[in-house]
Amino acid sequence: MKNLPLLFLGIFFCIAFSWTGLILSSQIQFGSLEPIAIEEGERPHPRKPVGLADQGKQVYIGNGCMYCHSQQTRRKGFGADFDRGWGERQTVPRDYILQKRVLLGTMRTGPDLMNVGQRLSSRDWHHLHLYDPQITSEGSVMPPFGFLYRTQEIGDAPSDHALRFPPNYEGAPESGYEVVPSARAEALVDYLLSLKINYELPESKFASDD
Amino acid sequence: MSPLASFFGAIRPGGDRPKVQLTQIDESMRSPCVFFIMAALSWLVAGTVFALLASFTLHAPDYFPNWEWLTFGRVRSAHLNAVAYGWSNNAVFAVGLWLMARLCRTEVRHGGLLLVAGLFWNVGLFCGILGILNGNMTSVEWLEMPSSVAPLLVASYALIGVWGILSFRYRATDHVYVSQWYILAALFWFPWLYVVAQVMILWMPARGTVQSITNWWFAHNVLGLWYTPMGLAAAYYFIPKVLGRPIHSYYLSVIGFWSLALFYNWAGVHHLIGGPIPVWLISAGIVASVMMVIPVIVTAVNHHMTVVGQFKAVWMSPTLRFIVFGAMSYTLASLIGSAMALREVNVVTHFTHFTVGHAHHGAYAFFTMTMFGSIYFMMPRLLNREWPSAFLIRVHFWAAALGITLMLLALHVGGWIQGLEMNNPDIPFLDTVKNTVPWLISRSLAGCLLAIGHLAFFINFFWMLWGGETVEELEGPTLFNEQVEG
Amino acid sequence: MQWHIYLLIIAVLGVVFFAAALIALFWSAKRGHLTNFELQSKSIFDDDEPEGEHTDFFPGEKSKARQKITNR
Repeated sequence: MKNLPLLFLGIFFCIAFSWTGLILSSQIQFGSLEPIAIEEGERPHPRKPVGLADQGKQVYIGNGCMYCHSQQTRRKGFGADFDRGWGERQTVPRDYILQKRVLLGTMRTGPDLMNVGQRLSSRDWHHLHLYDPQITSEGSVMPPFGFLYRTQEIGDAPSDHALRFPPNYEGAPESGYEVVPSARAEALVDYLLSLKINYELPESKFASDD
Repeated sequence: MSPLASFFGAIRPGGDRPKVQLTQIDESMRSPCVFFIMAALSWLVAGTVFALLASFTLHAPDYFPNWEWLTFGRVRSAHLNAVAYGWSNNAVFAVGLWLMARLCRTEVRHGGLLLVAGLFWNVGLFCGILGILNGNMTSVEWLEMPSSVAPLLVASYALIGVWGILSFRYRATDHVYVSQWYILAALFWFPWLYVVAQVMILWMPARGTVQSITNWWFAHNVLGLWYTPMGLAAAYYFIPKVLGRPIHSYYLSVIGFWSLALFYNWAGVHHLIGGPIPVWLISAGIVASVMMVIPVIVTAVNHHMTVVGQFKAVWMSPTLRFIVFGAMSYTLASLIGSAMALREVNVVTHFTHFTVGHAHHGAYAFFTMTMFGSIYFMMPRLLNREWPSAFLIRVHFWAAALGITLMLLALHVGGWIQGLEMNNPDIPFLDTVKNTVPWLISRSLAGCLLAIGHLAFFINFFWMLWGGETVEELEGPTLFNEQVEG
Repeated sequence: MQWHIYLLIIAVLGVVFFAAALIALFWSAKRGHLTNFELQSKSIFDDDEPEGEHTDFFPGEKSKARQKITNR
């Protein structure tokens, strides 16, 4: 084991072997997947994420939301993903092909978000939850994202976007003031609401009711 | 003869190059090594601060001011990058290059290269971590720093890598020691992993979950093909060196090296079990993860047989206290890791704090403790001085050992419970979260213990640098001879 | 039809890789790399740091440690 070139060859082979087997093979196997329509004449899925939702994804990325929330639904029977409403079908590679940055995540300090747009479809809920998670989820360990919101003086009339706090909320702004989402918060909520597994794919169909 | 041909042709070193005294080597490595260790320790402290912030905020989210820069997602990523690319990489550069210099037995050339490279590396890292805190992180695990710092890191690494290989090329010894294989392999693997990952995930993103597969091929291999070989290189050198006893079975080391090289590469997919990737890939990753038992047991047997009968000597040596703790943790962490790859176990542990515990088992209980031990051995020989305080060394050891043990227990037990509860749909999700809080509090306490240990180390180190008692220069490994103590 | 071809390619590559590894093993054995392991494991020792010498102690505690080690 004294021969430098031979050592290098062996070392190189090992890494080339795994790169070829794991990454190149994946690229060959499903790297050219395209959106597909489940039936003739239907819209192909998945759909390209656009607009404010896509900007919201940048907020999600920049704040590290992925480090507590995953975005993948495991198959029925492997964990309780289905029973918790995290999706009615397993997510498959085709679900992610149009995402520029795939955020599968490896921690569920918080629930999986692949289907959160369907599970929690109220904008108000999300704004309250982001502003102070304790409002909607008491005992949660999620950090508050108050810096995505602005406290401002109420003008002629309260803003449509102002957060509607529950009565007796301790952190409510003093009278004459309201809390409104910044552009980043609106984008983030748009992104969260866009996360829905409300379509089927040939390789992954909704589970039939048992 | 073309330079390339002569480079590869010089495989018969030995006779014509004079063997250099160990003290000369140590002295010539002084500046770069001390620089890297200073950088490493500074990042260790910074990383510990980030860790405490992240840990506390997770069970007391309302007690922290609502500062954007310190929100959990960002401060946690700052922690990871600071302890990985800051503490761990600088420590690897110091220890790995020192080992390479010693084992190659030649006059160290172009040490200035290393200083320049080290400077670039740490400047790049500083910018990267600022970027994370500023909201520009990539949310790609182990690659969170904005990709604009990557070229700087790659360039500085290139200098370091080239230096390591040149040392080997110009070595004066006929024999190549096992540590050298591991260091060479690690120096070679790391840039490939980093560059491929940067390109395929950030610069020219691959389509869909091919990104994820690349991500975990990269991240897991950073652990197994960069940190692990460096840690093993240190263990394989220091254990026999301190005890004065050669490694029990060199033959086993060869098997251990190649089986690690082969299997570790494929194991990374186990981070995606149950995920949206082809099932055959997942199965391949699980097989490789279980096969890892082979190099792990081989290494454990080798180390154990080298140490057997000498445990008192191990205890009497600061270096070996840390390194043997590290080596034993390597075995345990790897076996747990192999178990975690099995689907029946993974369905419980995936997505829980158990995984976080496992990560710290390998990265701290094995790798970091091994680096601590290595630095304790190296510094007196580099500076020709004693460590000023045996008390601080003991504080460091006990705080670190107890701290990490507490942390591992908290995260493994808490994580297992969390996993079982998450798989029980009758338990509301919020309840599973609330039930982890006592374990998270224990983790924070453990973190405080670790912080104390790190502080003790930091103080001892800088005291040694600035005010330690100088010892008369002698030939050979001088420090602990009777006449020069005190 | 697709996956058959890929499987064949992978199988062939696997055989090639395995054969290369075997060749490397026999080549190194023939060249004498795999003998003399004991000597290689002792290469870390020399006159300055000889085999049999303990080389690390807590600062200031060398003689105490030496005593404890030799008195089993």
